[in-house]
Amino acid sequence: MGHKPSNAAGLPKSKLYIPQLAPFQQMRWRLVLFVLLFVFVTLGVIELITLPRMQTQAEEQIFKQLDSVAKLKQDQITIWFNNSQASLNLLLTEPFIEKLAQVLSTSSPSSEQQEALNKVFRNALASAWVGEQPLFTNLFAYTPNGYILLSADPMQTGKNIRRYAYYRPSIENSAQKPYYPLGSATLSMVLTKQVYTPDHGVVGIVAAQLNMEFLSSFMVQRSGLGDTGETYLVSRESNYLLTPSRAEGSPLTQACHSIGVDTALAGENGAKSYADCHTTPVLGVYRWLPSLNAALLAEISQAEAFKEVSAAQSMNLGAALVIALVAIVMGMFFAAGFTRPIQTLTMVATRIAQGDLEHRVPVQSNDELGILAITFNSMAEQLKQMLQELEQRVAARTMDLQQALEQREQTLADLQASLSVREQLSATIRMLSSPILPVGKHMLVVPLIGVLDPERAGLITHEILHRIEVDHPHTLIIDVTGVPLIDNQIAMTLVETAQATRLLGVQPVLVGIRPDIAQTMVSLGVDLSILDTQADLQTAIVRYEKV
Amino acid sequence: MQSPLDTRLHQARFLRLALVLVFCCLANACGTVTPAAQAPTLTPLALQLAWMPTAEYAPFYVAQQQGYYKAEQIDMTFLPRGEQPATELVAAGKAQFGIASADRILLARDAGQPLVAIATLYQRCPIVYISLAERNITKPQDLIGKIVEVDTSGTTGIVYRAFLKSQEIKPEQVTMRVQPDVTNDALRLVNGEVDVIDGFFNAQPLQVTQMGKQTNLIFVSDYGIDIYPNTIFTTESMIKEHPDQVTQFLRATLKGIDAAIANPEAAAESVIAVDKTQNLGVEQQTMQLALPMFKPTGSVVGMMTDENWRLTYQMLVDQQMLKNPIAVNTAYDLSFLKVIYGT
Repeated sequence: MGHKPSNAAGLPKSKLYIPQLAPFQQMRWRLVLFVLLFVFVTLGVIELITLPRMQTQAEEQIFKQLDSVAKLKQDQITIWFNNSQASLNLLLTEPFIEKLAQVLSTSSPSSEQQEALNKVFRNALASAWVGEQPLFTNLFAYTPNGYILLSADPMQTGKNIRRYAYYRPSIENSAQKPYYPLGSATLSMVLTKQVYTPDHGVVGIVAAQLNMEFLSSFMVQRSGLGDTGETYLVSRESNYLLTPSRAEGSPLTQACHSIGVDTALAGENGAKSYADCHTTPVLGVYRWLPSLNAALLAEISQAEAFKEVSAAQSMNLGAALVIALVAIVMGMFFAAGFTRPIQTLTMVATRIAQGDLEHRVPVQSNDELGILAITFNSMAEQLKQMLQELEQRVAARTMDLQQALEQREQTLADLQASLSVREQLSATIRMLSSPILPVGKHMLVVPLIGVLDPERAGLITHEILHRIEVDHPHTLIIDVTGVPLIDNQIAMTLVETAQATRLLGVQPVLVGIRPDIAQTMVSLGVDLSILDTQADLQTAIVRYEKV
Repeated sequence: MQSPLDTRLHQARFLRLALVLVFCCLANACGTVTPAAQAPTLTPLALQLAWMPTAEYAPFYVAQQQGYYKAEQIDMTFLPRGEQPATELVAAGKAQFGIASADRILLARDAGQPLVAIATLYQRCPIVYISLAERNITKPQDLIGKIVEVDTSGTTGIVYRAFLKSQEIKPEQVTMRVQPDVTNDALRLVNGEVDVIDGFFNAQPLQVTQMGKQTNLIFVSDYGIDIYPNTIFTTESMIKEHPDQVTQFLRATLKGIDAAIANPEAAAESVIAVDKTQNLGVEQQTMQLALPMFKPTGSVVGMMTDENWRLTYQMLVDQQMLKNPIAVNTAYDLSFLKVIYGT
């Protein structure tokens, strides 16, 4: 059998089974996971709440801004409109109206009359200025038939304007709309006022050609709207732009459709995020301007509008991620603070389990783990002492046992000696107790003395037979006077011996049977017929001496 | 090395797959055959044009290319300008629809051709008297003593006479030259051969500008003369026997006009798609200028007025061009427009 390795204590090293932990079982990763989950859930909730709010707040802000811009422009347009209307009304005051009516109702007025009134128109035109621009580009008057009789611009006199868009509304006294005159790519708009006399009714119409440059200048003004923000007007007529748009490739005469434009042209004001006519996502405020038969739009691209808030959101998210990372790292350090001492403890315990009792756990912290380390160390120390004590005791016991063993061995030796003496004695007795004496010439006498155990009996038989062979007696006399007890076994042995003797041609004779033995043998039913029994030895000798 | 059993298995699998594929192909082929057989047939209709492909006809090309005619179950064909006027060809049955000016319709009716106008492309008359800017010919009276080249063959001739009459200019006060050919009039103006030419304001002036000269225009429509230059007409029998086809055709055409107005640049491109010899830039400009004619402020596309027809008729009567008096309202029918607009 092989020699088992042993440790310092002399005890055999046991195979220690320490299970390998999968990462998800390890405490340190569980702690990290916990921190991770906690951090992410918390931050996630915070982000879910704050980010959309930031978005909506930014949106609201932009809409407010756009709305105020739209309102501003609308007011500008209204003021300009009212101003123009007021200027026209101002022109048509007595006594001018009278003169006008007179000329208009005449079938063929004189050129002087006409020229005089034309001059008034020209003066009015020259005086109606706002800032750097004239309010009107022309003032003229036409008959109910549409024939221009008077005009500040002589080019227009003589024309018939029945087919023009403003004619019908001027006759019906309904609202005017902007229109594109034939042959011109620029928008026109005319404010008209009927010239009325109590006698003749409507004798003619005075028209003021509005300077549409104002409109463009209002709308094109883009301060405060950033890089992509703009305001523009879209006409209900074919959804054409009335004022230019910033966007590349947006001609005035191209239908512009978007949620903002179409809703406003349907008469509804509002603010929404939608895709503009060029499919750019914008935040837009839209208003319906009935006086111009157009929609007013104030838009800014969503990309620009949300640029700041996007940056803020990104920063927010970035900060959250950084915090998450820091938390994870901290979590890992914190976890390590737990798991490392535990691992050290495990390692030391393993060593100790393997038998190395000198190892101790370093006490590194002033907390529960430190206490555990201290306790563990004291336990190890205890173990060591206990073991030492045990060893000592064992040694002592062993020594005792050794002594006892030696004693025993001594006793054994003594016993052994006495046993051999005894055996010797027994052999001597045996020898002494079973002599085979030749008597006469042809007789052997065997006086048996003592207990007859089968072994002795065997020996005797063997000796007897050997002597018979040597001495050739006629008779063998067995004297059992000295045998205290004869049991069945002995009786049988005697019988067997007698039979053997007989076979060898020797007459076996049994003498010395005591009365108690005779009783026992009879009760046993022993058949000793083979043997000749005599009362005693003398008798037997005498009897068979002569044979 | 495959065992015989494996080989058999593979063969069986392959055979199954092949069968499935063949079956699929057959089913597919059958599938594609049947729908065609079940598709409703398109009505073949033809429109006789009166001029070469130009922005004026862009609505038709747009409608064709956008599939508006197909959506109305019409297989539309545009017949190019022929030797004979469109009115003759349609009356002869070569096409169901045609383009002609309002005066031509009236004259055709006078000649016994039962033609009826159902809508118009231009709602204003684009005829102008064009002169080089430096000549300062800005008012009708400025024509007196000038050489004016007039295309007397058609509407422009009628317009010229009516114009002079309305402005109280006697014909002899103006040196009128009959237009020898239709292509070089702008050239003759720039050369100085003539002082004034007539034409459409969105056509010849562009040619002159291309030659580097500025123009002055006198619009006849500014002076009360407004003939529809390009009405869409059909025959009385079409209206009687196939009014639904007329409505469908007109609906698709009006849709085409609206689409052309919504995107004039694409409309110009649709003309180039039909005739690559045309110049995209010119067509775009022509289209831009035509917009107020296709849809004047306050009107809807295709619309005609009784007043305009009446005035046109009056012009013909004044110039004694009609043999017999005509009931004007038989020459045009606004009912199809009304049906489409739901008025």
